[in-house]
Amino acid sequence: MPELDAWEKVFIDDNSNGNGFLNSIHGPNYEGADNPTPHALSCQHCHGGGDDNTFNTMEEAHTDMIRDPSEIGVTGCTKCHNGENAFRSACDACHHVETVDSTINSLHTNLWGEKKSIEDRCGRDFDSLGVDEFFDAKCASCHTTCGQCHISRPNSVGGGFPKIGSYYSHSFKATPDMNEQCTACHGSRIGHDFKGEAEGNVADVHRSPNAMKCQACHSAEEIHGDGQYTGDHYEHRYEVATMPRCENCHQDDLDSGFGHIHHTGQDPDCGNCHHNGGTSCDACHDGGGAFAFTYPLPTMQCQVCHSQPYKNCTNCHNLVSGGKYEIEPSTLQLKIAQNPSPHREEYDFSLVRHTPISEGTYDDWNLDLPEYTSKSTWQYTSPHNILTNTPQTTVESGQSCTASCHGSPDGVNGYLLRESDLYEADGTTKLEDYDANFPYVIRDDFPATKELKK
Amino acid sequence: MKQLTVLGLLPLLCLVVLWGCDNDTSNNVSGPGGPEPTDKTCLGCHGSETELKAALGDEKVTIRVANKDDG
Repeated sequence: MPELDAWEKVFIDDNSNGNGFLNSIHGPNYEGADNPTPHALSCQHCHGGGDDNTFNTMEEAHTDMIRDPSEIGVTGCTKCHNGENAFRSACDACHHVETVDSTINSLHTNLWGEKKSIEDRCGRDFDSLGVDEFFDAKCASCHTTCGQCHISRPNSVGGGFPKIGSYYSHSFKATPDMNEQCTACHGSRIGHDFKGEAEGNVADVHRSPNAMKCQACHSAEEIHGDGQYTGDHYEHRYEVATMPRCENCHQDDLDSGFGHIHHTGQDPDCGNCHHNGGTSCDACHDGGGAFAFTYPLPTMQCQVCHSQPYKNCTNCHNLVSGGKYEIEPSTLQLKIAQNPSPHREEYDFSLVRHTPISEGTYDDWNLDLPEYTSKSTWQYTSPHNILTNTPQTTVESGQSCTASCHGSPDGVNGYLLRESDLYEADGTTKLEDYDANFPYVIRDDFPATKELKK
Repeated sequence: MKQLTVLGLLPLLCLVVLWGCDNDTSNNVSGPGGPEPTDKTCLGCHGSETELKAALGDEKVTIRVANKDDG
């Protein structure tokens, strides 16, 4: 994302560019008749500050100004949209009140997922930790408001108006812009993968040639919070009931093909391919004369076969001086492990991304992590760099179809997360998060024993 | 005699006290006696590339995502 000049961030363009804020329903030149009169709003209606023609200086103009009127708890939009004088929220006009309520309690707005991770490793309820101030200062810059998706760029990238085409726009857009808004936050991994920016990778097949944008899979319902949680709220994005699923579009593919049938827990019906004259398979494949069948085989997340390598961190979140966190460069890897996610238990195996967190991460919050090892740091992941055919699905002519994955060597470039991946480079010193991840590694003798953690 | 003098002077005192009172027909946004209106508006600056550049200079704003390789 390019840098913005300071002036660009707050430039309200005239109406010649098609973005037309000034004539829009919230603009000062609005002349429409479909709303209570007058509806043409001044800047101050939403943003406060000094009235026009009362100030001389920039400081005077911005006294008591509201930067983001859509922020929860701020009386910018709600000054009028209070449910009495006008619809309760600025969003209610087009969106059902349920959407607004869900948003207020959503992962996006509250970072419930971040808080749950801290709770898990502390073994205590977040509210009892007394770290709100630290959390707000260090973590909450990623939470969002209506305006940061539908009007401006998000705060996490410095705000300012999105550049749509050649112009900056204060316009209210029902669908956020993928580049200016969605991947402004979700850029270092999701956007990076989706656009094929990693060295050696290509764009996700949904991006090119299919030119799909985020909302093609991620519904407004999912993003705003679908409200289908149990308890008070969702605690992880992989819990969300309306999360997109590959099979929503690809169910037919899932039900066909050797690879799909073998890796998705379906009974392959040996006789479809192997005509054995009526003899039972198990007559020979009894584990003695030949290997025994234990169908259904373990189930695998689609991305295990259809993702390209993705970023894995090597040493994130090490607290260094001044309360700053040290982030070292990532490495591009693809790692398959026993699925560590409690939210997607339908898969025995999944891709995992290393997001290491130091046991001393919250030292400056005076927060210990007595349950540090209760949560893996190789975490379930769903990279957005999907291809139909990947190195995992491709073998050299004459090789066994299992050669690419089942024969993958151990080590940094191997596909399987092995115990050896949990050691320092010296091969003998366990990494700090060894115990947190050991339950999920693929044992050295797998798949011969098909030993699973469960 | 004193009463007549007081009664005679009273209207005169009232005239002196009220001298200068008039309906304020000026367009002073701060009301009578307030500061004179200025010619500054939000869009006067925010709608003008020239004005904004003059006010904010050529300061570059770093977009943090560009620097957070893995964050």
